Amino acid sequence: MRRWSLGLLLLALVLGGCWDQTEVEERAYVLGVALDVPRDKGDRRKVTVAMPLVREVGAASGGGGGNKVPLISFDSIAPTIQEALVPIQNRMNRQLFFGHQKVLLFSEESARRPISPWLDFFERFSTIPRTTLIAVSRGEAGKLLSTAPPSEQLPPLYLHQLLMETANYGFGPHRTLNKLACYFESRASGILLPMVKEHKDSVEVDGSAVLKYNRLVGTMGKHETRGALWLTGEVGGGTIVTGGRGQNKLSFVIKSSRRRIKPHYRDDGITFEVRLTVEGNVEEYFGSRNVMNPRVLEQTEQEIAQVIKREITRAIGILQADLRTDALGLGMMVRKRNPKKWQKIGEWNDYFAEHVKIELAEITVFIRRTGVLR
Amino acid sequence: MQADNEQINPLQLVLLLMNAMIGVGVLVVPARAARPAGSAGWLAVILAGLFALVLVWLIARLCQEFPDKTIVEMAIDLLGNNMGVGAVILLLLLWLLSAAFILRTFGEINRDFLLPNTPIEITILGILLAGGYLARKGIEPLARLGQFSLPISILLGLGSFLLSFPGADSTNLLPLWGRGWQGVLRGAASTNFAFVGYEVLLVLLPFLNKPKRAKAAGLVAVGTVTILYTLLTIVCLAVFGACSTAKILWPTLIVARTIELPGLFLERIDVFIYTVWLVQVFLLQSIMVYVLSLLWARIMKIKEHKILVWPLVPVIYFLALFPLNIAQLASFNTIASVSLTIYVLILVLGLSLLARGKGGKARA
Repeated sequence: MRRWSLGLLLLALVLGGCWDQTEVEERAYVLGVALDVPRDKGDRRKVTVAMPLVREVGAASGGGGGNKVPLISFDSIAPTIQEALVPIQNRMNRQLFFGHQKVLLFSEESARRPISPWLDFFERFSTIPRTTLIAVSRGEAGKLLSTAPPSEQLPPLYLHQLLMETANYGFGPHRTLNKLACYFESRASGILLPMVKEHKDSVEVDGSAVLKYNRLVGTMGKHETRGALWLTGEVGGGTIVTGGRGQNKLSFVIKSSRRRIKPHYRDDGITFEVRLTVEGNVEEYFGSRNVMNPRVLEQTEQEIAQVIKREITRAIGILQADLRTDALGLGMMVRKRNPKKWQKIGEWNDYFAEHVKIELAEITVFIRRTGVLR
Repeated sequence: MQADNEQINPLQLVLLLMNAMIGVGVLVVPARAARPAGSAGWLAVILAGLFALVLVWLIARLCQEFPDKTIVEMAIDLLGNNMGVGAVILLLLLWLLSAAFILRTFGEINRDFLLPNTPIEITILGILLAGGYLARKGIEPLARLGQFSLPISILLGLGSFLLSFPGADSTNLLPLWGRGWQGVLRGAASTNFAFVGYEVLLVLLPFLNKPKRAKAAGLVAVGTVTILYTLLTIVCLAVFGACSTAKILWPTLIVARTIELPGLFLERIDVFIYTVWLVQVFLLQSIMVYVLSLLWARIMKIKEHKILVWPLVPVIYFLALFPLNIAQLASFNTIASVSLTIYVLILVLGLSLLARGKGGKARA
């Protein structure tokens, strides 16, 4: 009997209380965080966090819903993120929880200043998913966290899906927190981040932001971005139109692309020989020729290759001449494959701008299918 | 039902040894290897594994000469009573320290990943009491539990771990030699301690029903763990790159947080790895408590190890709470396991030489 009661006492000690009991409704699930630079305060950031109102979401799916966005966002200005969360938490009746964060936005202004210190918070905290998507916004970033078409319930989720989709279509790079953090840690010379902007009541992905080491140095438009993404091998979708002005306009839909880069080391520079293979289908045609004809297809393939070549050349032009930044990962390639050469080079971005030649040796386009028409 | 006939078969020994090895090491091995060796971290792990293989072979060879004796009787036979007992007590202390620091690391990780508000004392005590209970039952229930849980753990843990492959970039493993061969050597030295645990063979051999298979069992256990660690290191390096792998405290747990599974509701795959690891720590703790109490009992010439289990528990508990912070814990942990490895190497080499001398004399 005494043994039993002793055992029970022990059980009560071990199982009795759960220190970490948290009810769902006691938590505020932060879906997105945005960083802006407040006026005249360059070393501080306006931190905006957006959370869904759990009750509102339930009501909307049950009843009429309407176009009221069941999202609440708070912001505050502080020298660090942790410090910024204090006044936000003080206004909240629920505990901020970052375990389901979907997006992290930097305003263009804040990305022009060193951004790697601001990542530490998100990386250090074990509950924050390293799959959180990163983007740079034109204009105010905080506002984009609550911008979405009326059909969408939660703007940060909408933004997340949007970034995923556009990455599939090759119009913006796919950048997770993990990728960006590892990029900073490896001190690579440059990277592309997707650029988003407000477009009426929705958000539009608008090319990319070019980071040189730690800060934004410029932006690229849609086509230049895709030009750069061909070289990083990240294009897996999207359309290319040939025969622009004439009656023979044709839309080619990209299904996959593969690129191989071979560096040739010379004493006075490096030539990167690029071979690109693109596959896809014809999905629209204005003209009257028979597309099923092998000769026509071959001709079209070459026209498409020309368009791709133009995109790539323009991207290289911007990166080498205007921004003097290697955001294509070529430096990393040299560093990994030829460490001896790498050590002699010194500042890679200057070397990239002056001594690197990117040679488009071969662009092979395969049109595999033409839909159900000839 | 027979609770304990004090016999294990070679397969059970393999799994027990693996259980004793896979503890904290499995979480830190990629970071430890990547810090000095860079992208060649996995080579450093293989090198460290080879060293562990040599050491376990030496241990098994020594033990096979005295198939019915633990390290205690061996040391007393070969070194004389005073020196032998002294040597074994030092071993006991080193084991005690490493068991305590593993327990504390478990508590810290628990706090970071699962229970941020629960006092660390409670989680530590919980696993320690359960481990003590299991250790009292003797070697066979321990072996059976290991036989049951380790295959599941490895399958589940490795399975969810490999899901992070799509996000990996294999060129992160270049340059092949990382920061040069000196880096690889230094990486091997600092990775070595992640393999600590196989020395429990010094105590377990008398329970093996086929003592002749001890060498093979030791080699298989260490070999399997080496392969496992190498795989983990390769995946972490490919996903994070060498620099980030070195920066993250527990890359093996964090790598699961990078998994993107489109269309899957499950967002946190790391939970599986965490759960599996928790079971492993529990088993490791039970094995350590068992081995420690057995060693202690043999030193004091007590037949039953059982009565010494509960006196050991508070000792481990307070030792585990001794480090003030995580930085201290990390350096204590390194010191404890490095000195354990070096001490075991010296002890085994010394005893082997003495045994050969004695055997030679007896034959002559």
